[in-house]
Amino acid sequence: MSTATTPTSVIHDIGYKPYTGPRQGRAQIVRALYMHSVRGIFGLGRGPKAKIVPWFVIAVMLVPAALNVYMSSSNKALALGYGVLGYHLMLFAVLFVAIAAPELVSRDLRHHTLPLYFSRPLRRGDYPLAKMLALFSSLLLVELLPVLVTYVGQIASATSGHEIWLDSRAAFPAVFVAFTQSALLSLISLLIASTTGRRVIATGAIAILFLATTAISGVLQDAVGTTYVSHTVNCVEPTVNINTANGNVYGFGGGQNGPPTGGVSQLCPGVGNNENVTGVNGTLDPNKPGYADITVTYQTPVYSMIAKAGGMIDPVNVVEGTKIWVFNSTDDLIPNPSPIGPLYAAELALLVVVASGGMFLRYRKVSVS
Amino acid sequence: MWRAPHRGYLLDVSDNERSIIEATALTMRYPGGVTALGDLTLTVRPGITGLVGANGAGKSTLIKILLGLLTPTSGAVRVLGLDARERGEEIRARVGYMPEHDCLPADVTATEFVTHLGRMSGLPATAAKEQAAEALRHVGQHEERYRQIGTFSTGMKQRVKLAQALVGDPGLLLLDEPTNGLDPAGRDAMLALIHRIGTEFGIAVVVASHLLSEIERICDHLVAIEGGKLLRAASLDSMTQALPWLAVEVDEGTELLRARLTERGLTVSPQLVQRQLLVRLDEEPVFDAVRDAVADLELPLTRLEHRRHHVDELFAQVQAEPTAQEAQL
Repeated sequence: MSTATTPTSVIHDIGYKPYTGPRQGRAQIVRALYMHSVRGIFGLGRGPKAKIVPWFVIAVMLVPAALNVYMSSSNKALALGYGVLGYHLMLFAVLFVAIAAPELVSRDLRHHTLPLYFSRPLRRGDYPLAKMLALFSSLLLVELLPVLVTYVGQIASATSGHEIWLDSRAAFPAVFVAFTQSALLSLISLLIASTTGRRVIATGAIAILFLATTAISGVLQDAVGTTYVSHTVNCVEPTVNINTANGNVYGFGGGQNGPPTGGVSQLCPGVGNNENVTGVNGTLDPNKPGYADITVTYQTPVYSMIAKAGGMIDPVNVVEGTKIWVFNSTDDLIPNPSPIGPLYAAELALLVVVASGGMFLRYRKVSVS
Repeated sequence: MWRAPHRGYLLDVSDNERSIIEATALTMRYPGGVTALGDLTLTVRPGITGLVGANGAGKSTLIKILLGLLTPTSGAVRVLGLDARERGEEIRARVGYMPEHDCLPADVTATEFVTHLGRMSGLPATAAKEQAAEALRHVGQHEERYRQIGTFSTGMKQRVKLAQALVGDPGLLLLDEPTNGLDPAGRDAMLALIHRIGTEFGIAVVVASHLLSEIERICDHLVAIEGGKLLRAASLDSMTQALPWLAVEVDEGTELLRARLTERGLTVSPQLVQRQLLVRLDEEPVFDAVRDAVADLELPLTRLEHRRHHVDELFAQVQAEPTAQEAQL
């Protein structure tokens, strides 16, 4: 090694350079925290493990949406109508928040990172505000996705302006459900997650809360609160098999010669599509060859107050009940809460206020040292 | 030596006169009736200031007030020339705080973490990235910046904690027990780092600690508080001079030695630790006198130490003073 070689590289101690660039205010810091939280929810900038659940949920949300697009392109009824999208996909929304909420708030509790936030310009309320907005808007995005895809599919295959107008009107309850369900699920799950630094426990508690309340609510609505009243309807309809003699023309539930149960509603006016048909009897009409006199017996549920109020236990049903009240139309997912619809709406508002207020209270007294 | 340029918020005060922290008659009474700070008046000047006090002395309360997170019951406090009662937000944007306890997430890299906290201090996205890299370089974590924090040793974690306080060029660093949990070598490295920040970087540093022996090595000034009251505030030299005690430890014959030393006109203070005497270092021949006395009595001497080290003794000395005077009479 020659000592005369000139060094090819030199280490310079460039020392400390004070930062002289711009500094952002509190509002921009809150926005940065919001963006950071949203990225965390979808696992962006994190490892592949953090992406599994959010992107799985998004994929699941797109399945009925894709089916809907197919159905509308082939001019059939939607696979999963606007009104029931949010309700039927609720399980995945719960899965989404059960993973995302602990990721947002339990991590900072577990690692005691909060003092680092509160020793910075952020105020006490800014942290929960950013977290709540982040989870709400992320879930809203996920829940609006199938609605939007379905809507675009319908518009694309619409043939008239009037049809577009009808589709838009039909989509409105779905948007309402997406908004209210996102608000309720995200706020409640954040409040739960903010009580523990252990993510597994928070996830479990959130899942159990929503699933257990749904189950209890279901029991109250169906088993406890519902009785049935029988109805009988007579009508004259063409027989399918002209040679059938007296007796059971249409075997119950779509016998050999008869239409399926669902078809009864189209034969005998007055029998609803979703009614619980218990029997179809017919005799050949003596006066009208090829026709039969049909007697349909069916049951309609009668909901007691317990059934009507049973939905108030479950946040998802609260959203559904409020939707029924606001739009004055039911998709028969839950008993029509009328006349206590306003109570559902009031509970919805109350839950939102209590959960978000609870979040602000939770972070008001976090110690810094 | 490279000197930090003037910082905008201090332009109206000349470099020597400016005070980083100015507390006047600061009192903090919690709703429960606990008085955490009572009539505390102190001034912190640029440089490195040690804030010493036992646990519960009011250090944490003081830090919270300085950050504008607690509103004092009465009194005025200004940090970096800003009123902490009204402009806490601006203060917090310019003060770096390193908490005592562990506060790092395990599952992110050092760069991501410090960058995010830089943004939380108000740096724009690109600047936050640059400043985070700089801060990690200054604390000596440049090589490991893409490693997950969970894989770090305690010493490395302390450095990352310091880096997050340093990001974005603060005007003041509040470090709460920065050497907590470190081994002796780690302590030395951390103290050297703080010294460098305080001198070369030109950032005012307040180091809260209960170990005077540590921070006296790097501090220009010391502030001692106890029970929420100012015990002493001075430059380091006068503080250590105020503690002229010699600790003498013998395995047996403590009382004999005490009698002999008192006989020779020395001030001997009782000591908390058994078999140990504190001899006031008033006159020159104290060391000789102690040596002679121990030799004459043929006592097994185990330790002879110039005492100015432990904050406990700083307080013990204040309280023990009357006792020592009584012994003299």
